[in-house]
Amino acid sequence: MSLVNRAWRLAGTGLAFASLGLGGLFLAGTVFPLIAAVTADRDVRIRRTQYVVHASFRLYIVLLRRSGIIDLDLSALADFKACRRRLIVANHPTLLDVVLLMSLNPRIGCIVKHQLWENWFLRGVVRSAGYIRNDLPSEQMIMACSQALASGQNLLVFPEGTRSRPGEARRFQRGFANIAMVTGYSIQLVMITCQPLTLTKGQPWWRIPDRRPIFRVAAMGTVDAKEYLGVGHRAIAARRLVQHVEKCYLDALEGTDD
Amino acid sequence: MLSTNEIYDKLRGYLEEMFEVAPEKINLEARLFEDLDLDSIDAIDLIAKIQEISGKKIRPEQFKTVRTVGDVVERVHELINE
Repeated sequence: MSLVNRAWRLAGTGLAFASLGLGGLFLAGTVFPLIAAVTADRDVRIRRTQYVVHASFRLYIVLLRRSGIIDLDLSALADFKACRRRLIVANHPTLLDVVLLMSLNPRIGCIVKHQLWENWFLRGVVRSAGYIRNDLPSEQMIMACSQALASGQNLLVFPEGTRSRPGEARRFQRGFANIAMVTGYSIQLVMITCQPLTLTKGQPWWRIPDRRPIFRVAAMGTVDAKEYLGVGHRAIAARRLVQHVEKCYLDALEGTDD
Repeated sequence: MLSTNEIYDKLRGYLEEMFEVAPEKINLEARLFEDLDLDSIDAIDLIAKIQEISGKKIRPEQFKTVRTVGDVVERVHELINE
């Protein structure tokens, strides 16, 4: 790859980074208040706001592709766009994962680290879009998730908790399984891979790879929560569910070579 | 009236039965979250179960400072003998 290409991708990556924060700030200052002003019903307001987030991220990804910053492989995505009322469980290798997934389905809410409620660029977005804080007491958290799912949203959860460090297998946290066992909603498994890997945890944005990274988003099937509800005590059912899902990812990752 | 030993025995039973904690991991110093891999929802279930033995209404806040198995035993003993 030529130096020119690399310089172009570096500049593009920087610009893309800045526009994500500024875009959030812009939407939170203009479109979202407008939606809130004309939408009295909370669920409808959230649906509209999430749709705008979805559309913005779609545009964002299209621009990243067109300008040659990233490539995208969606050949194994199946009917991901149509899924509703599911817990979307995904691995979390890069900074772009949330953007990618939300660009591919218009009805996605998520559980977000509470620090973003104070983040100057993103606070407006996380509040307007009805995302759920990760520091709620557990009963309230489950209640909030249950309401979001019942209203037709999918809920995006990264059971690894935070972006995985390359080559390190993180333990899956049990939160998603607890939500599934209490609410009974099904789980959509999604696998994200990136070759060569970039935007990982602890890696600054400007350390871009030698060639254009290809992001691949693949649907890995669903898990019916009800199959686990009969397993006995809820806590044990949740543990079995986590083991099953963890194994799905380990098996799938063995098929790839990173 | 339950002694601390009886409470400990019951608690061990719950931990094994409800959360599949390996018996050899359970001792008074074991920390519920870190050593026994309980989570916050598990804690709520455990408190509900403890309410059955104590026969008293328990509020989760009363268990806020509880960290280890020994803490739970002590707390429950206090509550029963209040």
